[in-house]
Amino acid sequence: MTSLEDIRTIVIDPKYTYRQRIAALANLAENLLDPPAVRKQCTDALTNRIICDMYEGSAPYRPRYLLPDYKKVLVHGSAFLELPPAKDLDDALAFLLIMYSATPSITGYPVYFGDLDTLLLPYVEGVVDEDLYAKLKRFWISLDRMFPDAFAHTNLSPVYNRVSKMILKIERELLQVVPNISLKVDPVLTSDEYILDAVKTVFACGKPHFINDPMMQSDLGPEYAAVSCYNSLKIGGGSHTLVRINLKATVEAGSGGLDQFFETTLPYYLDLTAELMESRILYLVEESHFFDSNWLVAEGLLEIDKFAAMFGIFGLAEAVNILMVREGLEGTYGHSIEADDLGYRITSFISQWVSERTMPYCKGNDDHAFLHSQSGIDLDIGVTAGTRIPIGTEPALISHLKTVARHHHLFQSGISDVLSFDETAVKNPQAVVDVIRGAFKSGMRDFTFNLDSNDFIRITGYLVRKSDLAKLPSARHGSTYLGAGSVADSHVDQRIVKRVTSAESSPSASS
Amino acid sequence: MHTPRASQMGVHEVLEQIRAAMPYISGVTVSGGEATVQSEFVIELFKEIKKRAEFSTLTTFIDSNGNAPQAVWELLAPHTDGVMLDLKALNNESHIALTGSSNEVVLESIKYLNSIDKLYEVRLLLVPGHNDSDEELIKTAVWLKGVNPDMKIRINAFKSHGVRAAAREWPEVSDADLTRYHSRLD
Repeated sequence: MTSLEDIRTIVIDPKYTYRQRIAALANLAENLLDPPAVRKQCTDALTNRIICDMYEGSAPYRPRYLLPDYKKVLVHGSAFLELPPAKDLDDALAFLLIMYSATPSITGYPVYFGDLDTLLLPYVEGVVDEDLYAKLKRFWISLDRMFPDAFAHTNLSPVYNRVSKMILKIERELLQVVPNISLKVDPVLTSDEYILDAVKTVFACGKPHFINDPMMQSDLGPEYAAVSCYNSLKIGGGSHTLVRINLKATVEAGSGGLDQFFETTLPYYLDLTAELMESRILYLVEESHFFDSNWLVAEGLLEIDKFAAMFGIFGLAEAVNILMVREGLEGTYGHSIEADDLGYRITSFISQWVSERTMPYCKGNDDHAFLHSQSGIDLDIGVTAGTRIPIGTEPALISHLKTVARHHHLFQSGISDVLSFDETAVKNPQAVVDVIRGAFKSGMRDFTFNLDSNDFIRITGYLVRKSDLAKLPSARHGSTYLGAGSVADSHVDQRIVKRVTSAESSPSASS
Repeated sequence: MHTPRASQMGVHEVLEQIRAAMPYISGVTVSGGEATVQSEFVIELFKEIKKRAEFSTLTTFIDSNGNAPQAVWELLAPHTDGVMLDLKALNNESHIALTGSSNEVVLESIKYLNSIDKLYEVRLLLVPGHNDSDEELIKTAVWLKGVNPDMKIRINAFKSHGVRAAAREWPEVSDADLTRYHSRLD
């Protein structure tokens, strides 16, 4: 419960920008209200952080993640915003910035900017490269300065085009935190040339993230996007809430071995996770009346039937390792077939459980929650994100992929893994293209590469700049504060990276 | 065993590792140390890769300092798709200053491998103040293009981590240096 002292602390704390201060105060105000009612055992599990509401706030008055249908609004215009349909590139870029400023969000900033190459392509015909570059670059700078949050995310379509090419070029020049970028990769439609261009962009700034487009389409339909920290959801919809279960804490809540875990402890806490999720959805839809009052819904840019909620898990590695010890078995997650098999048994069990539990207002996934491998928050100490291998213990790339790839098909709403380059890959970008294609062939859904030699460090899924961390306690991007906590507590900066031995370039590629 | 990461392996152990990596690779490149010092092993490994259907999609490349006689290249060539070759300096005095030995064999390797169409690219390791003057860069480009007008040239910008003690004192390549290298070599 909020105290006057909490409010005073926010008011006088010099580290906040004006907008960050308003957001912090709004959060305190919201938490003056009682949270949606749940049973006592659910509150207890929340208090003990065995389950976690991601500190979304006591009174959900907007969905956690929403993905407005920007294509539709550009074509039809908006009565609420008093904007006619966009006629040219200038119209479209201005329209989009206005849209972002009017989009509700859990962070105060939009988590989705649209698939910007596809959105802008209809408006670039007749615009010469020089003009496209200047306009797009100005727009890109605006995104970072107006929406300074690393969770703000754009997607690029599988087909290399004028706009995506220009976006990657601008990314390499500007080296901004915002926007985060995901590239949808199709084994046939996406050319080697395009992936190579993207890989070179990763070398510069850690972006984009890579997504298995056919796998996503088969789970979510053709109109989907990856937003925020790699949450894949339906365009025109989103996720009401994200609630997650700490699998390490779940194992520790019981004292027995595998039988007790699967028969009693795990189902008990899965049920409480679902209860917390359900109470938050009902509050959002039936108490706050978001879907009855928001203009995005009124203009058909969001539809409740495209929404679901996200059931997150994290701390799989620690859960497996503790259970292995209790059973007297050798081996740890990422380093033993038995441990990896146990990990898969756990995620399969949870996937089955979630697919049997109906969830209100989740027509976007046939009345069920989406399973999500949650990539962590700054407060997670000693608990590894999602189904990842603990930082600092990752095996070589091929073993790493083999451990994590098998889980990916279970997590429709995203499972971001962070893979580190080895030195051969850095010497030879084409080798990275081969790894990306191979990873998707072996069933990976989405992943990011981490490269230690640039200014960017990937925290849980979002990026911060090392140079910004050095400027703390004051930062323009609110997400940098979260990053600082993770660097201090979870050693994400010590993720095992194969040391880069040389910086190479070729004369022809530079021109 | 000269480096902490080195270990002894047989050809079949290496093949096993390649097999595990098959979904993620399109070729195998051997580097070093200096791969041609173990040319018998490389020949045996590449022969196995080339004769097995399961590896038919793989290319075979060698990353070399070029300090191998033609006789060694003649043995490697039938099983090798291409060689990436380091040229530390065209000027022999610079080369001796940087490596302790003459570049005669390296230049012969470049010419020979080019003549049998096995030279994939030449890599220039540029160290500021040692081998990166405009004059030397232009001479190097002219010589390489004289061997083959379409020669693929790659710049390795010197970084001081992970090198032997004597080289730790050399300056690293700046972005401005890199821009100048490209303009002189293009």
